[in-house]
Amino acid sequence: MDKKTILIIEDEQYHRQVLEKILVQNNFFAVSAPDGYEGLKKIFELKPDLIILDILLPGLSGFAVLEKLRAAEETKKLKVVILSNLGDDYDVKKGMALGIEYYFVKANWTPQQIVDKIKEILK
Amino acid sequence: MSKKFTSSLWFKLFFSFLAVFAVSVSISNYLSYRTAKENLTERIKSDVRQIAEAKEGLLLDFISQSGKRVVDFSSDGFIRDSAAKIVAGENGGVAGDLNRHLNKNKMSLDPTIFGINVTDLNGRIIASTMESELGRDESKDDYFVEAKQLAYGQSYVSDVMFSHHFNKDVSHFAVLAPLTEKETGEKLGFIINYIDGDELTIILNGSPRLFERDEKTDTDIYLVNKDGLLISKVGTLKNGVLKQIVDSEPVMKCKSGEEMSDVYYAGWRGMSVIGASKCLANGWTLLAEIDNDTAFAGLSNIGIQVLFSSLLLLVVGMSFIFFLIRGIVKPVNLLSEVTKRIAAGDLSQKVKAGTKDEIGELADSFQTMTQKLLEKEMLLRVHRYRDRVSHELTSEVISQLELVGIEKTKGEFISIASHQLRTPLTSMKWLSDLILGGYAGSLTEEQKELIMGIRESNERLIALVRDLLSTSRLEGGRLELNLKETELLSFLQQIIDELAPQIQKRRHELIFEKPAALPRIRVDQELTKHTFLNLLTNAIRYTKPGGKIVVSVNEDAAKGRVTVAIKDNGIGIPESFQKKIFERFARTQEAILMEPDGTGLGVYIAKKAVEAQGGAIWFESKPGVGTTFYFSLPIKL
Repeated sequence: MDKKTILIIEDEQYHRQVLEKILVQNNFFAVSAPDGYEGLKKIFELKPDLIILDILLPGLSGFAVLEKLRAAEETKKLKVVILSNLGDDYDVKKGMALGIEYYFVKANWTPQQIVDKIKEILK
Repeated sequence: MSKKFTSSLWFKLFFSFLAVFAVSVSISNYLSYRTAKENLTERIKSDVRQIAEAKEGLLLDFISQSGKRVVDFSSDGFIRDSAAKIVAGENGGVAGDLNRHLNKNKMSLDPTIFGINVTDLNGRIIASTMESELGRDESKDDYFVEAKQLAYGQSYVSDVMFSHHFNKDVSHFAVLAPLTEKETGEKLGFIINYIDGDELTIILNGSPRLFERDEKTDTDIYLVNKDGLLISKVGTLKNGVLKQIVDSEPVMKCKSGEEMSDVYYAGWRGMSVIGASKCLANGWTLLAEIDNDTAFAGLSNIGIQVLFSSLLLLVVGMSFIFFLIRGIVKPVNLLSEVTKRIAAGDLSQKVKAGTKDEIGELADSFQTMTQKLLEKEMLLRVHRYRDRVSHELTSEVISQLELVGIEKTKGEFISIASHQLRTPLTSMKWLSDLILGGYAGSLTEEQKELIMGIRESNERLIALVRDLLSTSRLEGGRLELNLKETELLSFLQQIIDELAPQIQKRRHELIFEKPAALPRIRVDQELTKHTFLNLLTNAIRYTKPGGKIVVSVNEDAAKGRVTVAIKDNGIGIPESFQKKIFERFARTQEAILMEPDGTGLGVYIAKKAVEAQGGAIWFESKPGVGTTFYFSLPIKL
């Protein structure tokens, strides 16, 4: 079975680092981008199997990235999970409206739990 | 204000009010003046009519008395005998005796008589109280012609004459009766009493001398004969001239016997008067008149009073209007000033009209609007800020939030602040997790234990941030319920499973008493999880190791509620503290000793979360025995 590609769009270096490590450990092909623009570029390049998207990002926010990829024919069906420490109803609803698979509030999850959930989504 | 004064609200209001006020004052004053005038006119009309009636009575009495007097004289035997002798041509002192008799015995009886004549049937004076009268011929005089038809015992009163009699040039009138032979009844001639015309004036006005003064009484009472000549004195001597022609409306009307009392033009002086007329049988018109100037003299005073009171009212009214308008315009100006400043972008302006009327309400609404605008702007800023993703909260936003003090916005702030806290906390959590998971090589037991310490402290911080965030959400009113149909028992079981490590660690026994059947209920899962998690966590924490915790669920179908109970045999809540248990940061000394890391927010959040869903929360507790917390939720919300 081919390794699934996961794109992590996350500005926090430690978070990126942990997620990459745990994903690789769990047999994923992990790529990361530190900001929205970079993330968007990589989305079009790689067409990843799943995108882990933070909301608060330099340059282009997570929601802006989400809107742009939903607007393009070739990327509009990509699976996206939001992984953010913003947990307001407002944000959750906005994300859901944009067709995300899951909304993680970072602090409430351990890396392993996140990977387990992602595996479930990609099944 | 650069506004033109005449286009200002102040100007418009003031002059509109003033105009309305002035017009209404004028109209009401005019109306009251007119009513007063009408009433006065009516009263005077009635007055003059009464005067005229009274004077007519006196006049008729007098005339009737005069008639009786002359008839009485005509029955005098001496007069009749003497007249018979003279008519028969006898002489020799008879006439002289008769003259003396008339003078001495008759004229003295009545002071109104200034002369008495006796004529034969041809009108020749055959005896008189004055010798110069003798021999005069009266046959051509009107009255003599009229009197020819009279029978014995009848009398005739002549019109007022201005002819020369008794060496006098005064106005007078004659009262005559026929003289007859005592035995045969044959007509001999006439006896004529001459009465001074002034008597009429006296009867009508009390005194003839009154009119010799250059004064005038209020009411003119006078007589006009059938030829339209003034026959009694009236007014002052200067203008109330006898024989003057009076052809006013009532005199004309009297010719056809029509009496009147009204306002008409031209009395005897040709002035507008209020008068009343009486038409006498002999063609005389009796008039009682008051000229308008005199009649309405009082009214002109009223007019002046009315004018003054109008002016006074106007002045009072103007000051009243001034204050009234100031009361309107001032808050409006204030409002307009504030609006301008707000329009210029200063939303922190406070709008206060200082009145409780509609303008006050307007100001209040405006204040509310500004407040809303401000909130919106702040929210916008916060969202913009979030989307802009600058990770540091600028001191500008913080200070503005503090300045505004809006709960909602404060909540937004807390949400962002929590995010800022959560990011490094997450890093710590995840990194220590990786280390513990052996990603950085294997660890000794001691290393593991130390990292676990970091990990636990980290978890507590995350819990604190989560509780603060929940509190702020529940308090801020920003919460939107996210109701989902839930199978409550498995939902609760999941949470219990999450807490299983803690339960095992403290060697508690947990019993979950499930009812046979339970309907699916619609709850906000996040809020319900908060509630149950917090309460169960408390039960675990505040029960000494090896305790017993019973979770039970019951349906109250009648009330449409499901109640969850969490019973422990822990330390219990001291009675003195039971009232405070639902307050923020409420922790007993014992609880702090037992669990130094609690936030004191758990029960508070549980209560808020339950109440937000229309549920209720309560507890039973006995220190040293245990505590049972209950929360109930409506099955259908």
